[in-house]
Amino acid sequence: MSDPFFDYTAGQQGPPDFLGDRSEDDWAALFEHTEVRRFVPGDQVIRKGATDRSLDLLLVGTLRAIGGRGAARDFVAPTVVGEVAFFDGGARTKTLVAVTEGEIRRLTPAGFEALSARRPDLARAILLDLGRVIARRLRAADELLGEDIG
Amino acid sequence: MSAKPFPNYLELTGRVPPGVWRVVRVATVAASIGLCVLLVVDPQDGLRLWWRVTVPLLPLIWFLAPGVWRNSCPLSATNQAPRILKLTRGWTAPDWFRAAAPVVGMTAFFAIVILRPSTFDHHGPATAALIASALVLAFLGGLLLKGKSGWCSSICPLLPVQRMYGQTPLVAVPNAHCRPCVGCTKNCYDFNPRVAHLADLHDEDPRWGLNRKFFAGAFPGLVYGFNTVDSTGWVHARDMLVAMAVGAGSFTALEVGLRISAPKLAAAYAGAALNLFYWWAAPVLSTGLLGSSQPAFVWPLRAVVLVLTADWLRRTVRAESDYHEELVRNGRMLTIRPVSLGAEAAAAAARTSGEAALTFDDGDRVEVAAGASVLEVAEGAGKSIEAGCRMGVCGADPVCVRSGGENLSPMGADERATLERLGLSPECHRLACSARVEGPAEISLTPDRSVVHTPAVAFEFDPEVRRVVIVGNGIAGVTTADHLRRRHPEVEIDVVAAEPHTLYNRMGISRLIYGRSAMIGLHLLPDEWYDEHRITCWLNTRVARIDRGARSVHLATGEELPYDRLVLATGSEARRPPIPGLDHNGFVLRSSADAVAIRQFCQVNGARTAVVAGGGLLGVEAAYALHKLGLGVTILERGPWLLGRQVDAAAGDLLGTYLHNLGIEVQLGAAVAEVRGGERTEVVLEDGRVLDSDVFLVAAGVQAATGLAVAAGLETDRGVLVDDHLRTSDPAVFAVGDVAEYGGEHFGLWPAAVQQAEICAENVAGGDRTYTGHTPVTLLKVVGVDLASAGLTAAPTGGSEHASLDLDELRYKKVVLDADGRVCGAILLGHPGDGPAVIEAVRNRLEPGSVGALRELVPEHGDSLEVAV
Repeated sequence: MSDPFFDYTAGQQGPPDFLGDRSEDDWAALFEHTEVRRFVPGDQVIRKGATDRSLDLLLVGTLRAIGGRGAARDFVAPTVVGEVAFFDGGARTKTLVAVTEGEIRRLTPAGFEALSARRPDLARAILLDLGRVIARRLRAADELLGEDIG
Repeated sequence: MSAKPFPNYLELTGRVPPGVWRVVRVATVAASIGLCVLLVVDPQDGLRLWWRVTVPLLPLIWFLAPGVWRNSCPLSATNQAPRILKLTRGWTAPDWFRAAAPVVGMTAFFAIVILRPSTFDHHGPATAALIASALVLAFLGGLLLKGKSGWCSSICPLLPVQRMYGQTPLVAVPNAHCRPCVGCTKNCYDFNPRVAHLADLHDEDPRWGLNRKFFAGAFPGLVYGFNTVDSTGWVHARDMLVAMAVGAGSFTALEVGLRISAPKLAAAYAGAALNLFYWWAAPVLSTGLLGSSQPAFVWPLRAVVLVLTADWLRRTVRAESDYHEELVRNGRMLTIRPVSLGAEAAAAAARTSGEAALTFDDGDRVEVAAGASVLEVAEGAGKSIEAGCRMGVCGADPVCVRSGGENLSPMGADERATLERLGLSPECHRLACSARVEGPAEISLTPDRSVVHTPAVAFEFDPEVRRVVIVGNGIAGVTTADHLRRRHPEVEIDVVAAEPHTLYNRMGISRLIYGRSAMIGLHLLPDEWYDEHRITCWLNTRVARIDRGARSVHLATGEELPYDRLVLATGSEARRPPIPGLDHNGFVLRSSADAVAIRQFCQVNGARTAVVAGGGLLGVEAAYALHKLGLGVTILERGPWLLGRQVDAAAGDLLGTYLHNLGIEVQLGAAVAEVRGGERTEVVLEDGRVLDSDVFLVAAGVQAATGLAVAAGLETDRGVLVDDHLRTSDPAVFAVGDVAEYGGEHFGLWPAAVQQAEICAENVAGGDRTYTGHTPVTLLKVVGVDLASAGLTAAPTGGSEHASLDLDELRYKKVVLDADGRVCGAILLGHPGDGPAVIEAVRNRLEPGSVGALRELVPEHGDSLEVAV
């Protein structure tokens, strides 16, 4: 059951969702195609309405999503932000403001294309893992709505 | 501590270390067993300890700090023992058990209370059996079912009381048992105690709410009946049940009749029950602890309970309001679990941290590896910035340096000249492609054009030169006009341009195919530049003929421009090979009009595929542009590898692999024999194969636009022949840029055109400068490729080659040395930071050991792919 008060998976330490089976060298290859952005508290790291289609890897720090629907939500490193916009290029629905100091690695579409040409295996793994994450959420939405939307 | 209104136990910070709780649990289990023994061997003391001390205290503990009890309860300790000892089967409780357990637990609680007077209150062994049975059943529950679903969170008779009173504790003590949470129970109290009871009352399954409402309603009656009913036997039970029924019935009547919310009613009934309980339990507790009912103990206890109840009611009512707010805010939305990363990510990040930071005027602060150009950083960051030659001569990418200019690489002569041509002060501007980041800097992508920087050049011009006509408005023509004006303030200058645009970034025209901004951003000069420099510009105007005898240029519009000096800067045209059908069925890509036409065609005809004939620089760039537009692209290259004039086989193959991985197909050794039109374009190869395509583009190189020169009788070969002063066979006529041929070389490169144009302008103005040629440099920027080639690609006689190849990462580096061991050529693929130093080494014929990027390639003794010729 998906419930904001009883998310029993919140503390589970399963295998990492994203590139969990990849080596440090693979991650380094990915990071070579990303930009490093450091932020301090108060920085707007992602702006609502932006259509940059980047995938952000939050490696250090905490970002808070403000605006849009629903309650404020924190993104705590290490995690991925923007996995839906990465696929559909839609406008970001919330602004992400830095709560702490931190670091983000931004994979732009151009960076992903270059990575896919140089390391097609890694690019494929990125797409599959992100697709798996989104599919999981679709199933949960399916269950919540009681409709077959998958 | 979390600022959320209902944080779960994982979001709370416990003050007591887990180890302490483990010790406490062992102690409580031991105490329970000890109590059972005491109840048998010394029933009087055992019963007093249990029924007159422990039981009266428990509700107060559950009321104030229920987490303390949940973490230390001996029943929960025995229930969790199988899990700790790894004995548990860990089954998931079946649905019938989940539905029945709350009812069974509640019924058991009522039964125990009802049976207390007759069965337990005065019988030590019976009470011991009750406690022991509970311990055993709790253990069995943990042995079979996962988590706490076998007892603590399901069937425990004490659970309904704890859930009801523990919903707004005075002290929150997080669950110290369940690490990790296995999600064994719906609306788990241990997971989120503050909301569990509310969740039950609002659950879409009405049974959950009914259980809680019935218990809350019946509880005051149970307490009242227990303490006032004086009957015995089944009558006692009957009377107790009647009292409970009155309570439950009144609850329902109030809920339905007065529409008071169930949570509020439950809280009110619970508060009433608690105070009723302590009205009678206070004297019992006093007797149990002190030996008799002491008013000094009893009344203060009753008063404290009353006050605490009032505060508890206030907090509980507010919690209901907060709960509804949270429900509205979240809308029972999907809980999005964050995407987790592994530890390797952090380790790799430490290896690849940037060494310098570039801040843009939109606030973005990007860390980069030292040596990256501002252009590379801006492009990587997705900024809107134009790119052209990437060598600091076209002026497509000027930026304003707000601070940290000292942390950018030194400015070269080419860059300075270009900034001056653009009218931008080199003090606070740079060209993004030429400025390499070596430390923190702040950049604005919008140059400051509020102050026009016009450098003066001290020059003794020829006053006899009063009129100069320049045919061509490309980089060669504009640079000539610019430098001529700087040296000769009085000369009349006319620039005639066949295209309808002012100087634009021709290297960026592929963007016109896939981009949505058309010519916006491609112009390299502001419209007022010509007026500011007193240059008459004839746009969209063709030269009909040149009359060298009369020294006049006849325009196709009828005007006639006399000249003292004429400069031909007509550039080059796309070469159209003599392929049958090409004229009617193929595109070339040389001008902005070509690119616009291609994009239009693709849109109008819904093009999905494209064939590009020609695997040279222009062909690869055109193919990439069509790929970016979303077309499936095939490159046909006649030779054995791509960019045959600029790179060697190894680099060409790597480039082919890279493009293939991008999704662009490359066919080598493929020459086009014929092009046929129709519904689709058929491209017929010399080997007989036929490729169908929606778009056919030929990129077969360029040829100098010598038509006017030929018609005017000037000496030409592949281009207009010029001497080392860039004069043609007519001393009054000069030629620069793509149209010029010097020393048998036809360069076709912007840097060469700029260099020639400056020298030509000085000579036109009366100077005497010589041109010595140009080292060809090629840069290809298909996303991620970073290809640079300069000078020779193969070793000359007596020379050598040294290369390193990384097939996994698609990187290649090659240096070519002449017979003296000096750098005379280089190829770099996938080494973006090394380009400028290596190109400089080629231009200046440096020793490889003096160039950091080449040092490891040409060690004194080492294993490189050395090829001595």
